Amino acid sequence: MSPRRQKNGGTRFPDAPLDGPLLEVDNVKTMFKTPRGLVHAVDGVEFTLERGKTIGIVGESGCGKSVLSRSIMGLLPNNVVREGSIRFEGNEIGHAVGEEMRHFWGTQMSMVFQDPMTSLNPVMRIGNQITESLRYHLDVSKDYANEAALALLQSVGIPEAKRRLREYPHQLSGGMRQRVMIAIALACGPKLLFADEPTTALDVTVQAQILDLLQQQQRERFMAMVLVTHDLGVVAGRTDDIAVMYAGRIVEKAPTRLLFSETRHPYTEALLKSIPKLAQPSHMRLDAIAGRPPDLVNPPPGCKFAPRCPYAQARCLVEEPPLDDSATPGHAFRCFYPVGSNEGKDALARNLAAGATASGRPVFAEGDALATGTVVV
Amino acid sequence: MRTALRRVIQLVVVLLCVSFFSFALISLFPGDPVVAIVGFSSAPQRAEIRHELRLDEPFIQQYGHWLGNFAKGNLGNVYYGPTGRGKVSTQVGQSLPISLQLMAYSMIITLLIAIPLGVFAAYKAGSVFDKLANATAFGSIALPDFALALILSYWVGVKLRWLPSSGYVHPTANLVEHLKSMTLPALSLAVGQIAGYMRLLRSDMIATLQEDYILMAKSKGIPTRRILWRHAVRPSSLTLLTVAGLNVGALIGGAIVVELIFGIPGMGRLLATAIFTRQFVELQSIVALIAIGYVIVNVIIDVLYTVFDPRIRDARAIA
Ligand SMILES: Nc1ncnc2c1ncn2[C@@H]1O[C@H](COP(=O)(O)OP(=O)(O)OP(=O)(O)O)[C@@H](O)[C@H]1O
Ligand SMILES: [Mg+2]
Repeated sequence: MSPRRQKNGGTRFPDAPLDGPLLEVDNVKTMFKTPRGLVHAVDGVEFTLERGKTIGIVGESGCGKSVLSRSIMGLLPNNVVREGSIRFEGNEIGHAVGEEMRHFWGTQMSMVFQDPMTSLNPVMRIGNQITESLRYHLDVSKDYANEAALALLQSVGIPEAKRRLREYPHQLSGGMRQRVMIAIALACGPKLLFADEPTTALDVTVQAQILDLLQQQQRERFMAMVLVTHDLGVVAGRTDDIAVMYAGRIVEKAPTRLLFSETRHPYTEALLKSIPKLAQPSHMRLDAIAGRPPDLVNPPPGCKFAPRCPYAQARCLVEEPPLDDSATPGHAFRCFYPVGSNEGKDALARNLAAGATASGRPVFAEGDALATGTVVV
Repeated sequence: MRTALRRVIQLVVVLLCVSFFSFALISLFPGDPVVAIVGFSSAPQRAEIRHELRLDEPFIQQYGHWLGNFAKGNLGNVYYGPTGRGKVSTQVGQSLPISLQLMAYSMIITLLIAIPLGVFAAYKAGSVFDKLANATAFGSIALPDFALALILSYWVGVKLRWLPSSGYVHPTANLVEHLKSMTLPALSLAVGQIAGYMRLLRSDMIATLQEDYILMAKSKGIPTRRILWRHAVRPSSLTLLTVAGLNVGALIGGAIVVELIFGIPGMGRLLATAIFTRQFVELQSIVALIAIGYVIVNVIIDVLYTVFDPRIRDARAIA
């Protein structure tokens, strides 16, 4: 029996073309029905991911990073409305519901969750948690699955892997558990891996190790990866592209180096300034940006970032800028007064002269900073 | 190992207390126990029995003597008039297995119905099925088991004649008839319990289904059935287990009544007869046995905890 024969994976659609992007996300909207009204958690996101490439999704807590990854995977609760198009290997999966998506989960795409302390089943042995998807999806014998699980554990750098297979999650440290989670996610050889803040719950010292492991596995397996984080420092140098999210939409998208060297959106600029220093605990919220994200039930008209933006002009409050391509290929952003442009410089100068932005938020140049205002460095 | 030893010592202490209280409770009967036991009798006969029961000795010595015998399996005598004697241990030996069968069957029925219902109600929380199951559950909790026993005995047993309305057949005599004779009694006992267990499991299960590791399991693409049964049931059943242990008391109480209604010669009937004929020696032994059974069941439940949740095992080892 060939162990690689797939019983349940990839049978729904005819053989996918091997050219063309792996994942195309177009105008995806995800709304939660709540007693307060519709929460627009993801509001018109688009991006494309090629095979074997990585994209970083960055933004503050609550901006919709997790909901976006779960929307793409189709791992959403029932009180949800999902719109837009998601194409995986050219096949439309944006409207697939639970049962149809199950054939993709594990074999085509899988996810590493944020908190390894709560995401492993506390009453199942590590080994069983790894082998169950192998046995179900790949229809392999118990012995083969056990061998594969052992090899997986070794490849994610778990010492004494044989013994660990028979242990329970509580017997492992946080870093080890996250390695186990990665092993589980990789078990059936997915083409796309979502890593949703894979290091946020971990000690600073093991964060880099886990990120290195993810990167190494991603390269070895020629697997595409969506790396979600609230820390631009994490994705710097680790991803091909970066998409910066704010209030459920992408506000700037660029190849990684470009995003850092040619930052265009004021929100990206603010995030860059708030990259946690090495000494800070990484779970610290990014409260370096003054103000709060908007209410996702009744988002304000215009640019969602305008109320917190030091560049904000009257136009920003009424008209939402589209996600337009810049002169540089692959670089797009949503802003009328981009950072580094003449319009941006003028806008900032006007606001500084007036002492406030169009939304009424005070701005000050560095030096006479007030605790509450938006400080322009 | 040390924890095991400590548990054994704990168990012995608890059993001593339990036996002491069951002994004391019945000894504190008002009036002359000898008169209660044998009724009409001559003064020398009464004196003989009084000596036999060591009622002329101090209370503590009485207890020590009784406990010694109890530990050796000598549960005392039943008195048929001033001269007739029967061994309580013989009677218990005949009745206890029957009661245990009844309770086991009703437990099996309870869990076989309650667990799938609870799991499904949690999975479909808020659905029509869930609401219907809840409403039915309330109804069946409100219905006392003796009432249900009477209804079942009358309708299914006497009117429809589907199943025997009373009597007991030994399993070695005829297994099919045995199961038939136990169906209605076990069902009467089970129905009241099903609802409770179902609702317990449902609420714990709903909480479990919110856990991250369930989403994680889902993201592996394994079937929903497997997620529910392999991932969610075990962590959701600790409360169920606890309550099942505590419920053994209610089960014993229910069994007594149900045995009487269906004419099953179990411990319930033995106990009732002992009460009506004031066989206080027999009562002491039976009450002590029931209490000990209760304690043992709960010790077993304690062990099951560690089987169900490995974290408890390790917490114990550290403590
Ligand atoms: N089940 C739900 N019901 C209602 N609202 C939800 C639900 N899940 C998420 N949301 C809302 O959607 C928005 C986006 O949440 P999401 O979890 O994607 O944020 P995030 O960017 O991943 O943040 P974090 O960095 O904290 O993980 C939040 O405002 C959140 O309140
Ligand atoms: Mg998140």
